[in-house]
Amino acid sequence: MNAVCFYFQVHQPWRLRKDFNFFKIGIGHGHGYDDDKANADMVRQVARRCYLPANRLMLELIRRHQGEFKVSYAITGTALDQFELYCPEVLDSFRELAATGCVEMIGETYYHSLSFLFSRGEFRDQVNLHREKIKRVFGTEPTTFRNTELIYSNELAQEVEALGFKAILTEGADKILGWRSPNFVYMPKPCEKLHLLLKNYHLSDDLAFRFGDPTWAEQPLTASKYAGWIHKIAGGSEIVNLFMDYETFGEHHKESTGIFKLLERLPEEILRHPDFQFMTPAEAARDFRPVARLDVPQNISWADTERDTTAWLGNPLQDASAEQVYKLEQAVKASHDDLLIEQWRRLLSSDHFYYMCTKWHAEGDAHKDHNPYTSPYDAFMVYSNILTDLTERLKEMKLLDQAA
Amino acid sequence: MKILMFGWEFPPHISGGLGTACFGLTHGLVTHGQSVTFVLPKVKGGPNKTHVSLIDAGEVHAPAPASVHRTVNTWTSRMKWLEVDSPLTPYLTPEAYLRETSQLHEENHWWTSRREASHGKMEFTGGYGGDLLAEVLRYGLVGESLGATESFDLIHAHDWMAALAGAGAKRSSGKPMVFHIHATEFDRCGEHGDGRIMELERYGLESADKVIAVSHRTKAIVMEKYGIPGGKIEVVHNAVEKENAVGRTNIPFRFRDKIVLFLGRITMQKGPEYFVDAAKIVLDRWRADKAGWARDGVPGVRFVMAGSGDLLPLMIDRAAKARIVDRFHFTGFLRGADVDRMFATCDLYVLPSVSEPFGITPLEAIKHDVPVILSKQSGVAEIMPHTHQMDFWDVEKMAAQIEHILRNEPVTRRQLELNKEMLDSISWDGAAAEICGVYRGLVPAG
Repeated sequence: MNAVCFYFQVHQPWRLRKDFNFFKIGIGHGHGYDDDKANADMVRQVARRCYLPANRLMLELIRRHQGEFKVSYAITGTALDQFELYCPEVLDSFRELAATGCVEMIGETYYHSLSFLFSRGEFRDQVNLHREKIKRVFGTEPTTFRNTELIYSNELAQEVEALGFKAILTEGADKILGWRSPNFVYMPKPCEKLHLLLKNYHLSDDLAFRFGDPTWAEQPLTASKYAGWIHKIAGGSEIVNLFMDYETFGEHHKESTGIFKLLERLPEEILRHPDFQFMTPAEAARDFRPVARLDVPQNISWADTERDTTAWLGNPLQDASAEQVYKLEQAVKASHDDLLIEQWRRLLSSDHFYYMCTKWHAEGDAHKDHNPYTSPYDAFMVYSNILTDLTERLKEMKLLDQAA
Repeated sequence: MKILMFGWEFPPHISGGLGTACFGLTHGLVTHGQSVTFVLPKVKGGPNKTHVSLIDAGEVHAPAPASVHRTVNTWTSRMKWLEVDSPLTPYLTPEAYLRETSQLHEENHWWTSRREASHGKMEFTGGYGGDLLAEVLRYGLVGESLGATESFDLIHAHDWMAALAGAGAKRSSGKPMVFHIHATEFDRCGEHGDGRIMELERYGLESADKVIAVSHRTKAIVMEKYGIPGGKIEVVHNAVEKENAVGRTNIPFRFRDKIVLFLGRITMQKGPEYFVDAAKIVLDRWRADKAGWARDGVPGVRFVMAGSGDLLPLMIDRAAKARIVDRFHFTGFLRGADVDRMFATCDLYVLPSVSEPFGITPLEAIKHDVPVILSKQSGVAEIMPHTHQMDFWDVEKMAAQIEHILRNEPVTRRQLELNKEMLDSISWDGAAAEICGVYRGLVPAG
């Protein structure tokens, strides 16, 4: 038996006010770091193009295939909050999906943050916040975890196991697999129970990226062709993990490209082969025994060709900003001021650091996607001013020393 | 005396530093009884009520083709790059080929770009765009033309953009020419300036009967780098408008920390990296002895780099790498009122310029009751003896002076008072009086 496991990332950051210049420091008293208009516009636009039509289609497919078609989602807390605020109908449609029993909701950090790399305490807080949010919204408790942008290491796996999760997802990066195949379930080296699912990046990226590349030799990609590639692995493996941004459907590839038509036919094409079935990550973790332990001492991710964390960290703008914002953790939490804590946490979203990325060469296109700034330096200046404002508020509240 | 003046800026038609100086100077000249006709590449908007009569270069009829041909030959004999295959050509568009001038030799077609066939006028944007050199050439032809048609006693041209126009007017009128240097290509770019601009500067300097430099430093550069004899150069320092200062008390403020300001274009000429490096040293010292600084009335220190320019990304990198961005802020480009606010907000102004012909910003700072530190490589230092000065590259000394001024309030106050007295003693009126002296040397009857 072979399994196909779909996982979709759904995330929207709170975009910052681009007009937060030096003169705004200290006079706004924290009213508004967010660009409300940009956030509303972007969330509604993606909802119209992707979330709503894609959810409609998923629901129809689940009904049509009577429990045979299954998918999983990791929806960040910041995305859920913005759906509630800007287009509650998106939330309703996800609830409808969750209610079918064919959809798994995956856990992660509430703010899509890099907190694991900076503060274990904040990481746990955010994972728990997200767990509670999912419970509140969908009535289920996540048992599968994926860290922000599939950032992963032995240490993370250990922490996630300790938090009670049963499965974890990451990138099937060549540098951790070597000769091994991503199409099996593994166990992280330091773990006892946690099951590790690896993204098949060839097949995932065929859909997420190459589908839209007019120069790709495989054009046009159809459901039967794609299902054929998946069927090819039968016999030699157990599971194909197709992990991608949910925005692949309708946003990255617009409706006019035929992406929804492909998706509509895909379940039946895959199920045409009697040895294939769809599984959620939790089911895969339950049904497959790990074939080996996987040792990942360094951080990996699903980003860029490097598959590391250099999209978010590594240049001085990113590193200085990240160090500075995490340094405020204690003072922020000591305030017991929910609004202040929320504002600080929104600043932890990895997106802000992604906007400051200066390695613009080959990945230029991917990084430009939905980036509100024309330059990483503009992104830095806005972020830095807001961080200074927040710091000054902490000083006013006597939570930080004046000379800190 | 009637002055025919050529300059690329005049407020409100682009008012950078050059425009501000031209406005102040001409105001002073008019007060001293001179009448000034100012030729701008482009006069924007409707009729302008001002103390000079403005001429829009785009409204001037270009000289007859034969005369143009002669002029261009003069230029090419002096400046090799003006030849047909020079790298200037990319600045000109194919539309540049004009019917009217088609009778000229093939190789001379390119320079008269965009003449409107029907009116014999030429087009100007008056900015600093990619077509700048071509506009400067067309502006030169306008100068030639006005020299023959306007009635005046003397020509006064400002900086390289007006070199050809001034020289052209002199050739067609036979009247004396003053060339006023506010900045040289050497100041802007060090040894790596644009050779074509330097040639234009040399052409203007050599064509002029008298050169006015905004500082002794600039005079020295004109002598050393352009080979102009010192006897031909007069130094007239700039002044500053004294109105409109925002009082420090009018700014609602939030930082109790002392703020040290860099304000200007973030380019090589302004030495921004030395400011970042000095900030790092100062912040390290303050962090090591916060209590001591606090006893001296300095609860904390912050640095602000205001402005934009090609080095801004590098400066952000540098400050982030030094891990001082929690106390080192960038504002991006600031407009009029925000410049005033910035000055009113800060406690110390630093001008770390690598090469500054004059440098008006320290005077602006004094006007806002802000003490200053100057690089010795700035012309303004010549009129501000009561200030801390250092070589732009000496970041240790810059840091020490920043610390000294911040931690010694009485010293700061005394220095500021002396500088305010100096500020009271200088004026555009005074500068204009000196320029009138230069004029009288050239037109004794005036």
